[in-house]
This record gives sequence, C-alpha cells and structure tokens, in this order.
Amino acid sequence: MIDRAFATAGYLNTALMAYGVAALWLHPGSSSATAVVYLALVLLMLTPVSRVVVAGIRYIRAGDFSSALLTLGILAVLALSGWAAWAR
Amino acid sequence: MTEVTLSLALVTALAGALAGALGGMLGLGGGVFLVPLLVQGLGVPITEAAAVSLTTVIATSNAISSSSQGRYAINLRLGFMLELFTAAGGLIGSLVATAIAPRVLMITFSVVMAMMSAITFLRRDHSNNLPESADPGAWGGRFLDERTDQIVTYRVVRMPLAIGTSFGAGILSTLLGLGGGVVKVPILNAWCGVPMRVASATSAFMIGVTATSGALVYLGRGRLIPGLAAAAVLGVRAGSGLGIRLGQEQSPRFLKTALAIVLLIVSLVMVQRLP
Repeated sequence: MIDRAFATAGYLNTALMAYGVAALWLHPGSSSATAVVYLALVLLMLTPVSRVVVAGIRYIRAGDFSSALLTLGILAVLALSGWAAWAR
Repeated sequence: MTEVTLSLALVTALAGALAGALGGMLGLGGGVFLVPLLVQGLGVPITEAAAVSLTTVIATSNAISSSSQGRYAINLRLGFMLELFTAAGGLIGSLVATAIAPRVLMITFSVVMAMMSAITFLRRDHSNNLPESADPGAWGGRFLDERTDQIVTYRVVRMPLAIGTSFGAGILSTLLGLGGGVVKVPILNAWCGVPMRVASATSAFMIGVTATSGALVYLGRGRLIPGLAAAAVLGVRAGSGLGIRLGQEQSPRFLKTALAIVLLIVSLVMVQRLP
C-alpha cells in the first residue's frame, strides 16, 4: 500500500515537474512556473528521507527495534551533516 | 546564474537519461559523468553542476526504489546499516574537505576504480547465489530473480569490509560530489557475497539518502538551477525505466562486464579531470 503510494507520488511529481518545465519554456522567468518546479524538486528530495521514516515506523510496528534504531541513527547523522554543511 | 536555454535543457535531459539508464541497470547515480559534462561540455559552474548531479542521483534512487524489480531486490536492513556509515563518512568528509589535496584524492580514486574494474571483470562468472533452502544469516536475504523466475538466497560475508567501504564511499561522496555507487556495488558483489541485482538495487536506494542532505543545502543556498535540474530529472525518469528493464533482462555476467567497463571509464574520466 505504502509502496504503491510512493510510486504514485513519483509519477505525480514527474507530471508536476514536466508541467513546470513546459510553463518555464512558454513563459521564461515566470515566478509561478519557477515555484512549481521548486515544489516538485523539494518533494523529490524529501522522498528518500520519507522512505527511511516509513521503514522505521514499519520496524517499530514489527517489534524489530534494532533495525528501527538504525533508521533513527541515519536520520540523526543526515540531520547533523545537513546542519554542518549549512553552517559552514 | 546560468541561463537555461532550450538546447542546454535538452542536452542536460539527455545526459540525465543516460545517468538514469546506468542507475537503473547498475545501481550507479551517474554523477561522475554528469558533472564533467555539465562543467566542461556545457559551461555550467561546478557548484551548480554538483547540485544538478545530486538531484539526478535522488531521482534515480527514487525511480529504482519505486519499481517492483527494485523493491524485491533491495535489502533494506543491509542498506540501512551501510547507509549509517556512509552518512557518517559524508559528515567526516565535509570536515576534512580542506585537508586533502584534490589531486591526491582523485589519483587515489582513479587507481582504486581501475583495480575494481579489473576485479569485477575477472570475477564476472562468480556467483553469490545459494540454494533457496540455505540460511541467509543476519544480513542476507532472498529475492525473486525475475529473469530465471527462481528464489535466490544469499548470505552477506565480510561485513566489516562492507562497512568500511560504505564509510569510504561517504567521504568520497562529499569530497568528489558523487553518489558513491561506483564504490559500493563492485565491493558488495565481488567480496561481500551480495548478488549483482541486490547490490545495485540496494546501492541505488542508499545513494538517494546520501545525496539528500547535500542537495537540500544547495537548494537552500540558491545554487540549484531549477529549470536545469528539472530537465535532468525528467531525463532520469525516462532513462531509468529503460535501465531497470535492461538490468532485469540481462545476465549477471553481462551486468558485471558492463560495470567493469563503466568503472574503467570512471577511472579515465577522473584522470582527465585532474587539476
């Protein structure tokens, strides 16, 4: 169910991005078209992290706490590296 | 900021399609090809090129993780364990970035890639598949090989090597702007007992997570050219479907030979980019 939701979200994201690119091409410099592309890019970038979060929740529900801890560790290190790169 | 012309967008989309096809077939992000093409071929500044490259790595990862073939082959638990060390390596890489001379790093990377190419080629007939009834151990697993329509069991061996490689891939990912798949896939397959399909699918999943934090930083700092990144991502979506299908239809021997050739090209590209 969740896997199908991710796949569907991927197709919708591609459609949104294609729409944004087409709008940018037809109306160069359009702020609304740029906003659509940015939205699609942010959604794209958040997908891998949301997969980790979903997997972590699945592990917790299945009682596999060592694997859940792994996902939590990844999210912590990612947040730390993002913060370190941002602060540099 | 670089002006995105129609021809630039089209060439970038084509490059994205190639990166996506490579990713879908071999589990690589394709950044090692995309960055030099954008910088040297199309005149895009290196920072903007790296930002576009990281975005395409995420797109490739998403496409493979969403595909049915990818979902069955990805070893999530192994991927998470290794990703933890890749992310830590990436963090260390960002801290030591100024302490290592780029030339030394690139020469080392180039030599390692050439050696891995040779090893992958020489071990192209080696199989990691065990009988279905075999015990996969703590980190191994089973998957349906759609080409042979058989359940394949595998056991992960030399876990410290897999962890060390993932850590090193994380450092390289930060220092060279790569996804790290070119390091992980050959090692996991040649020495750690992971079948080629599982290694490439799991690597593809991991490189997306690795690339995310860097891509978000570029986006937040306004270094991502939205039109160019979107064109590359659309290319990736088109190419990854073809790559996934090719990867599914071809034998592991073919995939390993293709990987060996790609690694050799990566090695040569790195030498050509030497400062």
